[in-house]
Amino acid sequence: MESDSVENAVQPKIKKKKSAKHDIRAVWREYRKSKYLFIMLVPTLIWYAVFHYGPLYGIQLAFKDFSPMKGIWASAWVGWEHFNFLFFQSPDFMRIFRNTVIISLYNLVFGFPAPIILALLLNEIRFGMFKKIAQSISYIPHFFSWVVLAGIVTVMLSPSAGPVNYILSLFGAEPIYFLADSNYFRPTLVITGIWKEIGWGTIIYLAALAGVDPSLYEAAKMDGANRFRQIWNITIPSILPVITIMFILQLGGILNAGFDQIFNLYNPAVYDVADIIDTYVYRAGILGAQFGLTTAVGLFKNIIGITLVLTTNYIVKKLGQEGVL
Amino acid sequence: MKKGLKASLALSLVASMVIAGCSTNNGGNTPAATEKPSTSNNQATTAPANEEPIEISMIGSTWDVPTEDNTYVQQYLEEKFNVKFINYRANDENFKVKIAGGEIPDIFPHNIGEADMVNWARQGVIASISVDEIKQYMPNYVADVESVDPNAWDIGIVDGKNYGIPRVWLNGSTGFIPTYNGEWLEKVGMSAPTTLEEFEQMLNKFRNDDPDGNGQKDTYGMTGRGKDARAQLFNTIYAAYGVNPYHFKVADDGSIIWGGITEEAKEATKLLNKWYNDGLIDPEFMTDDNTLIGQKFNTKKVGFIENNMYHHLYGQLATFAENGITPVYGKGLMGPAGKSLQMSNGALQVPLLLGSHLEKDDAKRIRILQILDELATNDEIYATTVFGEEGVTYEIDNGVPKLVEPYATDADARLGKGIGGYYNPFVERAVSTWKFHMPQDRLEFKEQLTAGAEVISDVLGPSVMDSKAKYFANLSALQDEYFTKAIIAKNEAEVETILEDFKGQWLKAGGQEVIDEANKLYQERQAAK
Amino acid sequence: MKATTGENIFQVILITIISLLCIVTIYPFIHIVSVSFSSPSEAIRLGFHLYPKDIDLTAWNLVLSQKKIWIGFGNSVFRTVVGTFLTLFVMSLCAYPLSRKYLPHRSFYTMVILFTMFFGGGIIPTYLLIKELNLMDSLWVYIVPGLIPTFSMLVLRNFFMSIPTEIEECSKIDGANDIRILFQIVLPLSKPVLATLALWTAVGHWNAWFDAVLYVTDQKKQVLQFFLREIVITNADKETLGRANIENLKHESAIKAATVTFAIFPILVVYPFLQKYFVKGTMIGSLKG
Repeated sequence: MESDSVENAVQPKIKKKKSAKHDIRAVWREYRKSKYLFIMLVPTLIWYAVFHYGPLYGIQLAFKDFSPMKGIWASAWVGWEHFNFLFFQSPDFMRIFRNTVIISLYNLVFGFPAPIILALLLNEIRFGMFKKIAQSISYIPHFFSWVVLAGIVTVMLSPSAGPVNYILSLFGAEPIYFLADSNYFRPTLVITGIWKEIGWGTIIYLAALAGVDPSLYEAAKMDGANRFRQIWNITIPSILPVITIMFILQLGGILNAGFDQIFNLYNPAVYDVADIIDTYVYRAGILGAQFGLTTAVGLFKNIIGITLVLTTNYIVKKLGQEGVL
Repeated sequence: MKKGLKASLALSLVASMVIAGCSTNNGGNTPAATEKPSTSNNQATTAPANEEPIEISMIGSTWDVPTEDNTYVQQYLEEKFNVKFINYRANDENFKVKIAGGEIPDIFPHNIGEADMVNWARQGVIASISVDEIKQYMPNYVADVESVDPNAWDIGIVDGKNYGIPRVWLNGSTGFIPTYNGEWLEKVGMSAPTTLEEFEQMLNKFRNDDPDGNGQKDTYGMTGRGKDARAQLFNTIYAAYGVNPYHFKVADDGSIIWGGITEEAKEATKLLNKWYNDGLIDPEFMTDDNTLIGQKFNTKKVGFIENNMYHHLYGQLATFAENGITPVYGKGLMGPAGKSLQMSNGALQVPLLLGSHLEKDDAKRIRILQILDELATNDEIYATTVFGEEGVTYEIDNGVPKLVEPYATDADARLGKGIGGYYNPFVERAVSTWKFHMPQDRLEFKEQLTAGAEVISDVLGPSVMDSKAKYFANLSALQDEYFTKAIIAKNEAEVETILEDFKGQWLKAGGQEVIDEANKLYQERQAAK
Repeated sequence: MKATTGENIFQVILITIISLLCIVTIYPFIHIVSVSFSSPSEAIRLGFHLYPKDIDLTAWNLVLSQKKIWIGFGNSVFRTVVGTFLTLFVMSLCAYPLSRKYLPHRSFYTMVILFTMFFGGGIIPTYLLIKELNLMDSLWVYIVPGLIPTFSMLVLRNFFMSIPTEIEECSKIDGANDIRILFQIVLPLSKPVLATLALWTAVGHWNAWFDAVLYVTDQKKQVLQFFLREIVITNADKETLGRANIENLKHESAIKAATVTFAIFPILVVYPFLQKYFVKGTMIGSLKG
């Protein structure tokens, strides 16, 4: 018995040493097995190190008062001052934060599915020529900047001269001043946003749809499934990996509610529903608040973004799908 | 012929100097320099030729950056002053980044914002230069500036020190010109309104009497810049009350008050509200910007615009003609203020800045000041840097240099010669060389539009204020919102409530601090006189 | 019979809906092209612009006659073609290993890369880095710093993950290594996604101007977007006499429209050529083979 315990006392230690060495060697063996993968991966990692991790020290500007004479490292430390300016000096940070989130959520709920639905519809068209032409036309608005589109949209939605209100009048309705009415502004943002991006958004889903095995459809048809059953049971599950990754990554940008669009379309009559974080920072920037504030705002947005991404990723994986990680 | 022309030019030059001096001079001591005859061909103070040429890192403007080195103008200046230029290349977007990265030129671009000036002063990026030194080495230019506005020195003071060479923009002291559709006025049987009552009459007729004769009620009296320049929104009406909601003004008790919380602004807004509810103002003023206003005027949807200064209008003559419109210009409306007033941005601008390393290099700094004085006031040097080479890039037409083709229309051709603000940051910014930009017809046009007009502008100009930097991002949004709500309110009582509410909110959200600081600043400036 | 009629009705409804959508989405383009060919008074007319009621070629003359437009065009083409090709190549090198579940410490590497999508140093340190690497005023500054767009790379990675593993296993049994598998088997199967990402990247390069504005001052190396923005500002400048041609001012709207059209047109022309990659069923045949 005693000899047993002595042995036992000694053995674990030796086992540990052996397994530690064993572990490192095991890892090295794994790496060697995947040697070709690493030959491909490592150069790209170096690129990330140089161009993304290298400049990372700039994040400290969020906590500093940047002075060009001192450079980033030696600039004075101001702690949470920029965040104070953002959260507490704006008398209504809740308002701009709320607007940002609400507009982003609208965009997510309505804007995210739109290209998917359009892609599915386009996929069902049997006339090849029409389908090709329709695809090419649909993404045109994507290429216009909001500076240009806002001009067009303003005239289109004009209560006096615009076609939309003209059509409304044919139905006997009163003209609506979409861009100056707090009740209509956000929906207008979402709809014009969809109009601009829906076509471009279909491209990735059409690409995914191209990879679906047609024989699956054959089998389903023979089993008597109608079109909608087919879409629900075959098409959507097949492109779900693409959908989920697009969703997760776009969720990461939730605090970017579309500065370009809003800045070019909004006006004081709708500030209460349209003023977002970025428009506030833009106004503050005009008055000279500098790289420190913009870095701080960026940091705030990014932390929220990555938290959302990781959370959604976790949920998605629990549901059995491929996520980001 | 030439003699007579020269005489009339000199006369109008003196006249404009006197007018400018009258309208902006608040009774301060006009320096004796105003009596000095317009500086003509002084001998340029060239450095002794046997000294080493000093190097100057130059970027007078971010808009006219030459693509090549050693252009005609660069060589001319290098020879004239015995200097060597290092052409610092940047544009508006990347200039600040370059500064942040530590690349600091000797001479900064002329188009800097006041907030940047303050930041850079505090960060030690720009040089502080004593006022006396500037007066000593740039005597001609200083005389010019002080003849336009002796308060020009105030703008460059940060934390008690002076940080640049003052700049004024002569056009800035002219006002926004009320412009009417001449054909419409004729059709409704009116001449250009001179009082608020007449203006209201005109609005009614423009709206209800079908001035474009197409049988439809599709015209409005006016619209406004509700989207992109709130200070210009309905500026003519506010001016008739002696106020602009976005400027500081001197109250009756001598203190400084912000236009937006004054009784005058409230009364003016009530009038606008009445007009709005009567349907006289284009309800789309909230989303109209400069482009749309121009379009609406040119396509005969509105009959009155107020978003242009004389030089904008001069440039639009061709457009008006193209669209069959004869513009009629007014001088301002008589209202409760008791006199006709136009709103102006004021002539004061952010000073020209120099890099901070020049604080230590006395010789170079002084040399630069001298060179700048020549660039601004020496006829030959100014003409060369701004127009190029006589006979090659320009000719004298009507006593004034005029660019010839291809230099007149091709910006690249001009840059190929080095012409423009890059080597001369005082383009169109000095009284003595103003004559070069005023061909007879432009001069007459300016006279016609601005002679006798009185302007109101922000009493403090583009001033450095910490509270502004802290609070304006919110205060301006707050004001925009409330004033919009007030103009479209249901009735006068509502306007009253909204604007009273605004006043309270504004003061609470930092406005009180802003006013206090503004008053302090004003007192300091008054005391220094 | 019934099924066919139902199918036909469905197609008709579908085509109607899509046609309406197309009309709405193509309108901005028609509008802009029409304005670019319009005379000054026609250009500023409020309302629909389906065709220029009054044709005027001045705006196009002004835009196309500027030599720098064509220099910019050339640089943009270089940037787009070379940049897209290199990006696709390097992105694949990065995405493929990350798509293999047996890659050691896979999560770690993915996390490290994902992190960079959210946290960056900002403009100043990047500017200093570019300066340090001597990339200023070089055409490579358009390509190297943006070589791997992480979003696209992750999309590609997920696509690689959806390819059945049997294909890979078969090839490995045949003795192929990972690199060969990637280039000879996986990439050909990924044509639709690659085409999509190529389009994303190409458009990104074609429209980019901020890096050009920040890092390039040599006008011979500038890109098209830079000059286009400049033209709009220069030709519309009203401030300083002598710098702007007053006559051109009345063409301002048409000039802006022409520059926008010129920037967009090449992309519209390219897409139809990429469509052949979006053909259904690219993946069948590989398993059966």
